[in-house]
Amino acid sequence: MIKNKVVKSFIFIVVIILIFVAFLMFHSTTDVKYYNSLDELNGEKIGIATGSTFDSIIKKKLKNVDLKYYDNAVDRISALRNSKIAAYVTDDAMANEEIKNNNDLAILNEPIGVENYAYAISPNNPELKEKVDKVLLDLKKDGTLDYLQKKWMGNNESEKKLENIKLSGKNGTINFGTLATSAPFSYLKDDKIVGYDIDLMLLICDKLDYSLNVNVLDWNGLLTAVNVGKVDMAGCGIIVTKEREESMLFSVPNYKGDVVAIVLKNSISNSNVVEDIKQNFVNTFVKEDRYKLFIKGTLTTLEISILSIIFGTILGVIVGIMRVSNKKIMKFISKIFISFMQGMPITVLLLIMYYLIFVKTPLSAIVVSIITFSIYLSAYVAEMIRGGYEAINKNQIQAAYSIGFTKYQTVKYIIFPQIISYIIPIYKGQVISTIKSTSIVGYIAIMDLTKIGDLIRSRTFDAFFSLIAVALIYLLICIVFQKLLEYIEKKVNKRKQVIE
Amino acid sequence: MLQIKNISKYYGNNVIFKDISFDVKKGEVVSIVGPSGSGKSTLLKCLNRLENYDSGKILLNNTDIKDMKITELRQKIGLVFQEYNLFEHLTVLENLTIGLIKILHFSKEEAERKAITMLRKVGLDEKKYNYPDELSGGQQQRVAIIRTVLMKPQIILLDEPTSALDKEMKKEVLKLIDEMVKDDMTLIIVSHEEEFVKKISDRIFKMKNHTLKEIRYEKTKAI
Repeated sequence: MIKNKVVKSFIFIVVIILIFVAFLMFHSTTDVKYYNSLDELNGEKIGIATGSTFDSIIKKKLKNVDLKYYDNAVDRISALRNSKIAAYVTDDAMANEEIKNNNDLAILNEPIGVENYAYAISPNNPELKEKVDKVLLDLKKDGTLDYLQKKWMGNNESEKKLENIKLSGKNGTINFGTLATSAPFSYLKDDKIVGYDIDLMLLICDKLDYSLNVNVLDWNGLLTAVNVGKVDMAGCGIIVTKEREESMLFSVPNYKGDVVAIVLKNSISNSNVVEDIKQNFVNTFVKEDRYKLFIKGTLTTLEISILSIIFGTILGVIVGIMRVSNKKIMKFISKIFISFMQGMPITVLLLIMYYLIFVKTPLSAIVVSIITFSIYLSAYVAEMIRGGYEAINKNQIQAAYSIGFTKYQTVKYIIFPQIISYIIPIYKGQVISTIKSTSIVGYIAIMDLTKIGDLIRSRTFDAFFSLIAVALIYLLICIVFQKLLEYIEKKVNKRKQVIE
Repeated sequence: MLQIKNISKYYGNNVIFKDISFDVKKGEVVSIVGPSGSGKSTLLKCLNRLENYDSGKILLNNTDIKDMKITELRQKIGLVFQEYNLFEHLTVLENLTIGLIKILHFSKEEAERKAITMLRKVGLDEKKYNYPDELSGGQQQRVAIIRTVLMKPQIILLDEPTSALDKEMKKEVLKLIDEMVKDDMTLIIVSHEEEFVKKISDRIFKMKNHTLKEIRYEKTKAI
């Protein structure tokens, strides 16, 4: 019999969430409309990838469409299934992958247009562009590009492995940014980032005597990373536009493909819900040992959270002492720092730190994220300390001096213990908030728990199990930290022990 | 024991007090009376340098207090406040022992023994595990006095020790001060309680027009 209150509460919450979400998922009241030709899409809502350039192509072919932007294929498919959009537009290679894994989707026969994809290259490295272009032209000429396209865009899954190449790295390393959510170009398989773009980059690096470092980024950060030089090159279905050419270089095209529309298939057999759920579970956790990825992502999240909390608290105490100091300059500096941090959204701060402040440094993305969350938390801790200090009856300080305490002893035995007991309830909340905030680190190429969930979702095309797993793991982490802090609060605040 | 020589204090252009001089012998009880805001409490706080004075000298056992280490001075001259100022996060027992342990380096057991003995003397040993906000004003003030007495200072300053208390609570505190007088402690008391100070004081000074004047009085019967 389960006696532990925490475990009971956790299980209860899990069951409620599962019932609620399953109800939402499997209960649909929307009438489904089917489309069989491009003409029928005129005047309808059409989904496209955020940051893609398909909108101009679509508008040339279709009239009066309402474009809806989605960050990834899973979101587009979900919108299509829930009749939020009539169709979505993507390139043929990705479309084929998507209909392979989703038997309720179909590609409309008539393509909307044709596009060329290329690699984005850092504007500071025209020599690299020259070298890459030469290799790409050679690989096109000798049929290697065709071979790679047949390999990664064909139906033989067993062939879809990276070329077995040992890179020399004699001329350095190419930092390559990619999304890893867009099969067949780059995606997660067996705990590795694979795909057409990755395989092609291996061949390019081999020819140019570079080693390859793959960075998984969000679409919003991908081209920025190229522009500021955080990565040397980026690729994953990037289309060349005049606007993009103003801020970065592009290679010669590495792929040319049709732009197609995906719609719901008109006739599908009634699937077995239980079998679907079973299959989705297997796809999310069992296939390719994906449960290990959740563990890896959790450990990364814990690493960033714990170190940020420790450093943020220490820095916060220092800033807090400055804030309550009698020295005007200390007060002024700390006040400015606190106001700045409290007025800045954490996402924006993280991007500034990664793409501007630390862009030229060799610091890893994890270190940058720890620095960011630490200084962000420190501002809040400093304000808590100020509030706690102001709540103390200052006459106690005079009393402490009167019995012979030094300033240091007064702070240690009289002021600090009281500040701690005042602020710890608020501090608990801020710690939990910090842990949850770390879910944004996927923006800067960190494979934390949230990012792993995204990557798995992009492979399974199923939101339910990966999102629920991520939510439950965060919930568990937060409950553990909450209980730990409650224990510390009881130790610090002896009066609370007596009351309870 | 304590010699105050021509001390003066100003806040900007305002005179708080000027040319104050008096001596206090060992075992003497000196009281200072006068209207509110006349600078009595400020004068008292100058004696243990919680406040600074602008001119003059204060000698403790012939040593200028400005030449002494400040923590050493405050261990020799203790101060009991009008508002008790107990440490709110500590129990009564902890309030009494913290100085004994951290400053005088008694062991916890020895410190607690001394504290409990004193608490029994004043009938407060049942309150040793209570927090200050669980005590009445009179009880808190008695604990504050014991806290100072336990540190064994040479002189104890009492700043309006009964002003914040009602009639009943005043009696408890005045009784304790009377005990301290009987134990030959050297006290300097600032108080409004004219009848009480006449009973216990060896000398009484009145603060008027920023200066101190000794007043003649007839010592009444002890409590």
